Amino acid sequence: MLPPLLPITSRLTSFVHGRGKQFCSVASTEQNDTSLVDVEARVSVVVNDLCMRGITQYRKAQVTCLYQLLLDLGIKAETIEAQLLEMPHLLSHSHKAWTNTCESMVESGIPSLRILQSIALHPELLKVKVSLLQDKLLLYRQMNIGKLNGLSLVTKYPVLLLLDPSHLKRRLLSLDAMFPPASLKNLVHNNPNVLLDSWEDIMAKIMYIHKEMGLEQPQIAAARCLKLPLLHIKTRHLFLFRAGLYKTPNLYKDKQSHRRNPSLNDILDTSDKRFTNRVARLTEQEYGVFKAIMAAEEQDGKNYDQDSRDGEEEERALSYKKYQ
Amino acid sequence: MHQLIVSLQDDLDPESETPLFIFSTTFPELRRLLWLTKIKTSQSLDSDPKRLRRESRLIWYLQKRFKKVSAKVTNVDRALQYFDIAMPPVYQARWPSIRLALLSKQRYVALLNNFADCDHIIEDLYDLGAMDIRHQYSHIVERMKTAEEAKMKVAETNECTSQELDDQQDTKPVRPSLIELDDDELAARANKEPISRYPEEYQLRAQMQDHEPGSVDVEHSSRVILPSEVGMEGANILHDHVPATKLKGLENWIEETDFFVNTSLGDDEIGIKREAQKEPVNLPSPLKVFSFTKGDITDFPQPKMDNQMKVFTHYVMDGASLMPVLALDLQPGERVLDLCAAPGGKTLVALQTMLPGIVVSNDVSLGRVRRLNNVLRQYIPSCLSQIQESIVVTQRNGCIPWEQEGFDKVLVDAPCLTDRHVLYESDNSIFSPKRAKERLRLPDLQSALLVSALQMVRPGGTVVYSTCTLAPLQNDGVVHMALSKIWQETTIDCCVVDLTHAMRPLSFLYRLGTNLGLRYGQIVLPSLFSNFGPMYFAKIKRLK
Repeated sequence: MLPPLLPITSRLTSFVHGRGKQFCSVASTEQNDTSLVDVEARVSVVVNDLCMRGITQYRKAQVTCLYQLLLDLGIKAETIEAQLLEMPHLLSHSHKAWTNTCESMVESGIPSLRILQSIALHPELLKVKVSLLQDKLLLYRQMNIGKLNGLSLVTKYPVLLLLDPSHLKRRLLSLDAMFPPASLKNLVHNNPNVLLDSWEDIMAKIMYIHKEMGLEQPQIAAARCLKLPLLHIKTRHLFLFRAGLYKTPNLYKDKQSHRRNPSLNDILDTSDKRFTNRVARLTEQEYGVFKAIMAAEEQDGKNYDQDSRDGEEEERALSYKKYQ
Repeated sequence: MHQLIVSLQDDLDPESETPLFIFSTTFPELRRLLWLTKIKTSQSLDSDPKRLRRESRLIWYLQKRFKKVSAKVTNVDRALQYFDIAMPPVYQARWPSIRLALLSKQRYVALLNNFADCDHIIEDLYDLGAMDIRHQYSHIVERMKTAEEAKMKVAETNECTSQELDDQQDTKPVRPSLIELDDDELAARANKEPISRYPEEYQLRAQMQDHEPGSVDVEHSSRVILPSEVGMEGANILHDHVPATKLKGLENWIEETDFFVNTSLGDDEIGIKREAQKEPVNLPSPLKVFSFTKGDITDFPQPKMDNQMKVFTHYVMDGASLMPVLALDLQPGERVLDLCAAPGGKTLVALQTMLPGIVVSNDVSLGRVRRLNNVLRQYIPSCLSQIQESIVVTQRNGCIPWEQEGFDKVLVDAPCLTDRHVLYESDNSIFSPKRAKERLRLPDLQSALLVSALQMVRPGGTVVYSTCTLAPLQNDGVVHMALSKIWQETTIDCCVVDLTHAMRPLSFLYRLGTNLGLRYGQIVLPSLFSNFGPMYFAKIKRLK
């Protein structure tokens, strides 16, 4: 007899155990010995606690059903209790809604703890029709753009389940057209807001960083820069640029030229204090004044835009006619 | 590679919600793209002529976009490059802050017109949060006086008894609070040599070890290579160490100090005397100047026309322009000459003090005189014959003195690099290559103006030389050149008045440059906090 290739240590078994938990199936529920947990006693404790806080409308049977369901999913008893005590309004949804939603999500392969978290974050998920939810999950599961998978994004950002999957697809395709796959993955990881914010906003920020600051996709993707408002980006950049501390790099000529400047994260994603003292080495008061100047300029620009918009629209209409 | 922004909405991706943007496309990608569009063009050639036109437009657009476009260098860029090279050695750690301020929005002060009815505008200004700088100024001057008196008292008591001295020291803080010092003083403190902590004995011992007899000579002689030792082949080695004499890549760069050699003479060689003005500058009572506090960036309202007198209510100007006129220290009935007056801001300040008996405003060119006249017409009522008679506008070359010893006070606001202007406006900039010679001749012109001003002022009168640039050569350098010329060529005897102390109280509004190694004058540095200037001014008193 050959010896086993790998010695079965406790670490390995626990890992297998963990995997089993992640992909919650019939087998895994069998592994979890629910009989060890005294559901009735624990539920009564929860109900009593809720009564103590003046929340009496949930019956014991209702709580027991949900408790059992979540326990069957493979979530620890302590987690369930803490969650229910923290957000008792989760109990107000019907048991059927809970069962259906959880089932369809389990079928798609979302880890059980993630399911509870998503529902806690967005209880509206329980109101979505089951067939619709299943369709959406299926579409997300099929979506593979760059190195990103729709379902893994849904697991991370459950709000996507409330939206149309075609929105995500369109957004990812347009981003994929600009960013190479590796950068795209970093970009979404660092700035998940690119999935939901308005496209004009994101495009304006990307184009500002690309054109004015002279940086390319890898640098944009590596920084948490698109979360911040455009005015903030402009203020930070111009503050350094006018002080002569930021030289616009020319990445076509010298690939390392961006390294002579402070990194994009240091410029944008820092507190005012750290930025002024460490990155720019100027005083905080000066930055305060500069911020005020930029805000005033922005306001002036907007007013000017509003004044000239009427004229512009007329012009646009005329040019459109010409083109026709 | 070039950046590409192409809208291919209906061609490549019908599903995308917006134009599909592609940037930094690599060359093979671009070729593929062109090829793709060509294929499409040929396919749809028969079916849709409109589509064909659109495709060919696309190709044309791609080709145009792909061409290398050389960025045009503007005069503003040239100016900025000059400043980036010339200023950091002079202003060092303060340069980023100055540069930031120069390139940002400038701040102004409002000079109220005494000839107009300004009650409304004063109310408006107070509502906006502006302040009359006189209040703050007098307050600070008083505080400084009391502080000085206290110091004198302390000195007296020191002499009396040592017992009291200890008590005084207990109450007094050990060192002045760092918060009270301005940033420049802080920098000076940081640069000061650290106090040596070793006992003297150790230091002496260390010195003894360093200078053991004989060892020093041996060291030196071993390092020196004599040509005879090297021989013919080794001559190249010696040449390796010849320092660089030329700069490559900066062909346009002309070191100004190469042209003006005699700026490096010492003080004693040109017979310069110094005198310190102890009492703070006088802010004449008719002068009403409003300013916002440090860091407040509110704009002043547009000047309004006073219908009765047909003049404007207030003049909005750079806050630092006030300083040269204040440095003149005008007295009632004096004859004042403003040698380079246009556009007339400083002349107007002099007139608004209501002190001078006659103000002669001069400028060299007709256009500038016209601007000067316009300002005077807008702010000085034509119906008051008395004030109109006291203003004389002339158009002369200021380098040639026309009235020897004819004025009590002369203001030389010389033409200079005008730092703020050249960094903002490219048109007709002094940094355009066509005007390079003119730019290099500026210090000559400036010193000629100052020399002629010194000739026109009466003995006992003062000349204030001012510029609005940071370039040290056009400031201290020009004063030095002019004074050495006066010393060498004329019998005029003059002394430089040190205004450091006199200008101290104005630091509540301005950032005064200290520890910059200025020998003759004062400089107002711009900072975002108080974005006035730059303004250099030096006061020179004619003795004989």
